[in-house]
Amino acid sequence: MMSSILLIGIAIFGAVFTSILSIELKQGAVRASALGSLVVALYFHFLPLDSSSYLTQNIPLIYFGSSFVGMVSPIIHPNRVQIAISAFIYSIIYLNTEGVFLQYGGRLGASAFIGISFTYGFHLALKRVNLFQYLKSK
Amino acid sequence: MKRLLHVALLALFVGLNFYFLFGVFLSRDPEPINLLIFCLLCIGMILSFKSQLNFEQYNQAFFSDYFKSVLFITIGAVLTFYLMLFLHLSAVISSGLIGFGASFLPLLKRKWEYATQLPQLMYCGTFVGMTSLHIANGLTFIICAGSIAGVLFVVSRNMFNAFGGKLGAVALWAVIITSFLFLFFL
Repeated sequence: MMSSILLIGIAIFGAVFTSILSIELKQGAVRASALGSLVVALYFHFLPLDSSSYLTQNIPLIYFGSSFVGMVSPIIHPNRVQIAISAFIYSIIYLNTEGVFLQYGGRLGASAFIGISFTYGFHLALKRVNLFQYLKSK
Repeated sequence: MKRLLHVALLALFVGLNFYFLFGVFLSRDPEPINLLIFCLLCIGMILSFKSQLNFEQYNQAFFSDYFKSVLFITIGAVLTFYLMLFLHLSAVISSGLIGFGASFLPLLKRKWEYATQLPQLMYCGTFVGMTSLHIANGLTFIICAGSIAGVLFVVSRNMFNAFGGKLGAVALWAVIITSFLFLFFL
């Protein structure tokens, strides 16, 4: 349970950090994703956690996938809350993919894509029914 | 006709993602909570699918687009697979190294305008190259999957642009299609 919460936290951090690196520090989406993932993967490659091989194996993977969420354009997700929600959805999918599509390349990207689509779809729907304006007026 | 094709491709792309979600949430233990998450994610995907029906920014693809896309995605895939297989690097390190290196290729844009497209093509290729040896039994598989990913990348160029993870989704479908092809024809 604690491991799952930690992995969800890392996913949210990874997505937001990649977005900052990509947009605010103007490194571009690919470099922001690749650089962050490379640093995290090298760290756990050379300094693995003695207490948990599960976390040593999964932290670089979940960070790598969350960096795809952070690659989203500001046109789709203009604020960090939406990026964080997408990363949360991505991490829920990631935690359920154990044993399914495990050795297929692109599994993490597809999970990130679904997380972003979900958040974007619901955001559009809520905007259409003017829920945000209603909440602001309250 | 183009509009119909666009909608059909969009429906196929979303349908494939439904299949992925079905595999993740319902193929092993169809508990009520998993069914609820599956339904919510599908509804979200359908809502975002509706936003992609806008046909105003349709870009025609030419043979050269397919050629360049197939070439550079395959290069990215082969390099990643090589790093994993021969240098025994992990999938994330291999992909990160190739992606980081490719992110500097737009510096060549004064000499070659297309260079700005190379990072995303090669990064997409690295996801194909990350496929485990249990699925990808050799370089032929990776070249074939890279080529299919190149075609899918161009075919999907008018949908879900600026969505993170689209490159990964393209790579996943290319790998799944290739593994089916290898299973039935080789």
